[in-house]
Amino acid sequence: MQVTAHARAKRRQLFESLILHTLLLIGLAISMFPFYWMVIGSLLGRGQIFVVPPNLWLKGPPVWANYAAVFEKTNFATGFLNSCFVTFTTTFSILLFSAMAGFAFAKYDFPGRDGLFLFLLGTMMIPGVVTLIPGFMVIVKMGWVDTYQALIVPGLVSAFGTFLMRQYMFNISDELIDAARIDGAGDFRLFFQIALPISVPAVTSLAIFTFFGGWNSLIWPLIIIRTKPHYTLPLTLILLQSRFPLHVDYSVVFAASFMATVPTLLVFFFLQRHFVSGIQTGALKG
Amino acid sequence: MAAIAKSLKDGRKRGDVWKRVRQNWAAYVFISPFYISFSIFGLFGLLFAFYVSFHRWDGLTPMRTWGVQNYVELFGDQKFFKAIKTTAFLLAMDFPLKVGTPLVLAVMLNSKRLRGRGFFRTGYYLPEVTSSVVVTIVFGALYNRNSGIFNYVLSSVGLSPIAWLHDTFWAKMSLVILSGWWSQGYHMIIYLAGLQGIPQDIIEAAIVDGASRLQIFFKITMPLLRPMIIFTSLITVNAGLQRFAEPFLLTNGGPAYATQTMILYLYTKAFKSFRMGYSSAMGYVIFAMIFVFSLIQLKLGKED
Repeated sequence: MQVTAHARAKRRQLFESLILHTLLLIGLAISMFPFYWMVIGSLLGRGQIFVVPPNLWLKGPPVWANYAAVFEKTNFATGFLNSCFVTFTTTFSILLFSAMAGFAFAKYDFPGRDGLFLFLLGTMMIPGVVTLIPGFMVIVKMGWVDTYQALIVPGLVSAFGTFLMRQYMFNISDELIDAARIDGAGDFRLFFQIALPISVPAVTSLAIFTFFGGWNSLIWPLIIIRTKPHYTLPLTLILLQSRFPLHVDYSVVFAASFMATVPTLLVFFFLQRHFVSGIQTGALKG
Repeated sequence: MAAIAKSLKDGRKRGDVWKRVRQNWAAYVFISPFYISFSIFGLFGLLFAFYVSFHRWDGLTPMRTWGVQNYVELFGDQKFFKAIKTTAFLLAMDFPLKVGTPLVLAVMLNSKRLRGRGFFRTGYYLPEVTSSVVVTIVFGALYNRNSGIFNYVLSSVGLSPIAWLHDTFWAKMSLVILSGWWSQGYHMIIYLAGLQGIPQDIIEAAIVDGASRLQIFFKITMPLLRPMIIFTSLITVNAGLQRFAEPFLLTNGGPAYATQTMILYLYTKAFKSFRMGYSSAMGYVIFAMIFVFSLIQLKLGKED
């Protein structure tokens, strides 16, 4: 009797585990399909993306010429380099300034600290789109429309980044800092040689978020950039998509889209662990 | 430590403040970049926009004083109210796919019997790394009325095809599906963090007491995940109120303004009609609305 009950329970468990894995695999297929389709589509011949029944896998040889066409027919390389330049500059600056300000808020007791920090938290409540037109008008007043400065300078600091770094640096031990001070370390040495190295995990998480945000940012470049030499990658892609009529050569658009995604994919795969922990810190503390 | 700091603070005299400012000069240097940048691009911009909202201005020629005319016009603007309604509708439709299914996914991924959790987590997170432009390019092809894959799937299971981007209802649903697909992974990871914080012995005790799996989910898991559910709801609302890129790229607000969100309308007025004063006024009204919304959310969030 007991043996059969045991066997039945075991069979039930096996069945449930089978259902669990099947459901999750179906979900995963749905989740991954647009990616898969982008890669397959980028290697199809002319007009082959829009056929019925669809080409769900490569039936012929891959058309690598689509990738060559991206560079020949568009300013993809310019967009790519501009995106790299803008994203790296802003990410570096946000990391530095956020870590510095976070360190000051976490480890200094200066007059006005709590008020200033509250103010910083308050600015995080202002939705990004609200400052869009005001920000644009400031850029117009400065005569910076259609320049690299306009892409970079407003994005050099981050309230969220400062908050994140402050939360992390709060846990640096005061004894460590006091000991370094007694050894004669100045404020900048304290920051660069003690606080910053200890905070590498938080800096990495922030770097990933900032990189993604910068690389994928659309609306700000859209309103302040006018000419192709200053286009970032998202703008290049929009132009490309509007220039290639549907059904013809859409594979080229897919190829460009895939190449535009590669940097974020690489960052994601290599730094995945920091990514997950970063989101979870943000969610639990924020 | 905290007590000492507090008593120090209370015992301080006025003259000490300047001494402490001088002692901590480095701290002010460290925090200054943020406040300088915010004063210029945030604060000055916001004040300037407030000034502009009482003017008529195309961004180039001299401004004309316009009083509260922009605000009066806005409150009679049918397109603006339609945009608010559209934004609210899309936001409400977001909830099942942004707050619901990620929770179910997270519970499944948290199962002890699951093999390859990391693999699944990566796969579900992947959509998040793509840019709005890339996502809309790929989904634009999937939603294609005649030869898109979605309609191919529908017709191969015997359903009639849908005019996804050309129908006022389905164009909205297209946006909801797209952004649901996009944020599954992010919201799922937030839930997973919460699930991993639930002590296993509570669940085991419930099993010993004969609780069914559904009972455990609704009576134990859900209440303990309340902070995470509030958090994902918050980011869903936040993203929903600011929805711009996908309707701009996928449907350009159409068909018949069915997917014109508040921010898309703001963008159109500012950068297609060049009505800076009017769009500044609209920006302030939208800001006020989001602000009230945030206060309500804060109040709801504080109740537990």
